[in-house]
Amino acid sequence: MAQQEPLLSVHQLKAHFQSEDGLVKAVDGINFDVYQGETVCIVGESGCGKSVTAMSIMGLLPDTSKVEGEINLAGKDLTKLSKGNMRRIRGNELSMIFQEPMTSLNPVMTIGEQMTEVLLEHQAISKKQATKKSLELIKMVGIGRGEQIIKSYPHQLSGGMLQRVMIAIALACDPKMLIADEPTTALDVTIQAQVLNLLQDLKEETNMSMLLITHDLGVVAEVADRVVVMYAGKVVEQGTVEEIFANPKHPYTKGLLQAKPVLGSRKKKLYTIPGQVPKLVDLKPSCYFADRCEHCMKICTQQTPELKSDDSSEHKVACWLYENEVVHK
Amino acid sequence: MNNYFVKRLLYLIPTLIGASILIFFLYSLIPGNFIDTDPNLTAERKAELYALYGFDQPTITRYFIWLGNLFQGDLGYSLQFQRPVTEVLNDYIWSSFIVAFASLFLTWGIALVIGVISATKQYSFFDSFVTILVFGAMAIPSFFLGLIAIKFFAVDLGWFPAGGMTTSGADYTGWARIKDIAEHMVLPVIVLTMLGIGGLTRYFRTNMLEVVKQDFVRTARAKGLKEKVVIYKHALRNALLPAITLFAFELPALFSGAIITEQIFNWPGIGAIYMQAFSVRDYPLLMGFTMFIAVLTVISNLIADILYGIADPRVRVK
Repeated sequence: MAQQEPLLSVHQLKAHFQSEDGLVKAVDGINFDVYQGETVCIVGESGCGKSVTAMSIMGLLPDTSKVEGEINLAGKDLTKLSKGNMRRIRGNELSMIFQEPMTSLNPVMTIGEQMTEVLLEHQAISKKQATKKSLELIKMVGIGRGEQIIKSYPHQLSGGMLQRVMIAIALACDPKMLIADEPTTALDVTIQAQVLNLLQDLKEETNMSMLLITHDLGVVAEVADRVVVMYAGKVVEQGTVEEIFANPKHPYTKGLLQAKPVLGSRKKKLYTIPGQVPKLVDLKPSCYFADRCEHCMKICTQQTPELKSDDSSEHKVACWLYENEVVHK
Repeated sequence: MNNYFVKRLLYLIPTLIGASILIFFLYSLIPGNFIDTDPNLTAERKAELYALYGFDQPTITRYFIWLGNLFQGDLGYSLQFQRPVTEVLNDYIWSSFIVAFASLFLTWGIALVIGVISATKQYSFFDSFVTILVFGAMAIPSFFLGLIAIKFFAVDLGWFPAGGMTTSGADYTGWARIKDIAEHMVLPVIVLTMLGIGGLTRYFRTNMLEVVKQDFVRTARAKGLKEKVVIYKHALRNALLPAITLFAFELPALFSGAIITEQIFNWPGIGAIYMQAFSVRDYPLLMGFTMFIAVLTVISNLIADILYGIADPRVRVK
């Protein structure tokens, strides 16, 4: 898999916002690749830049933000596209589903209108054909009574149904790449599993790639091929899902895995990583995790570690603990 | 839906009876009446007039007579004009209506366009410029605005007539008459529009800003829809929903006249008549007119609810 060109290649992506307190570096120079047919999970706590990463790939950040770097999708650099060309890619080759299905659909338009809309925008088909395709899509995401569903309004359906509709809309134009931003967070647990399985099945069927953003490591273990761990706008570790779960390197990744409840094990108290994600304003060069890290050394507070692997494998980590020469000088 | 409609119609009855009680007794309990205003009347003549107009009856009896007449569509008898109130209203209300209607149309049209543009370009030069302009227009009292308009457009530039509804002495018919009235309407309509536009522009701007922040607008963008479609199809419809209530309240305002503006432009509308009726204590006219507006208010509330049901599917399906 590693030999072929990646479908999505994010290189030195930065997304900065000007706030009243100063420049917020929500995403600060991250790199990762997603190959054809692969699922990559971005994990991290709230406020570490996961969603901003997704929104900058989609080109949906407000004009007040500054996005730099390269986002290559199938050979095109999305950051260099005009607004019109980017719009033609959105919902077509690259689509996205969101966290809150209940509010993500327009309350005054029928499901049918909202489904055919995206088809009519990107494909040269008639209204009738679009409606027919919508019915097929509804069937594909596992909802019965399609005829009735397309005449309904969002408030008449449950959260799980709405998220299925959102998936149907996202997949309407057979995208090469689907970004799912915490698609199951707002749903209850039984529905979560259903929606995840659906996504997984559809992904395999269509051979698209998926970028799944989540803070739920259970989800990661289930669906991911590779994992990108983000902290304070930077990638701190990335590797295959086996490597990350079996042999986590970064203290933050270790902390996340420890903080995950395990079914059947009785612990008095769930582990928590002490402290909080730092404010992303005016950060000094350092490892941003330093003040929460139990292995913090002097260098950690002075220099930013680079993301690299110690043995040319794909498993990379940004931590001074693994930089032998420097530390032991 | 039908059941709901019938229920709402039935609710109108107690509401209107309550309104009629308030209106009648508030006006009746004010000491003095039209006849007392004339100091030259002898005691006998006064008693005669009291008997003639029914002022000698107890208030309760008078209320029921008044109410009974209302049911037959009779709003009372104007003492000042010596004609039925309905006739007087009919004479003056339409001239108020055409001015109010024109300014309503302009106010809503302009406020909607400006509100949406300044919301989509929040904090831009256009937004700030319009905000200042609109607040300025809103802050100037109508009498001042009216006088300024007369000074510039009527006196200095001579573009429009300074007051009245028709050119005095001219006896136009057909199109010429319509054109004449339209020319006289321009200044009062401009003044009324300027007064009303501020609040409404801000209202549309706020509504729109609120809606474009919502998740479904983000979804619409993520679908790759054109920005125009996102704003005008997805966002605007949602932003307009709460305005339905506001719009329904404009219906009684169409008929209630603009007291100050009509005074300034010497416009023969109902607002001017209303003020005049107060000064001579022509209470039957005041009561009839107030009751008429009360009925319109209640009906427009009902219309608002029905429109809401049509426009918002969340309200419709119950």
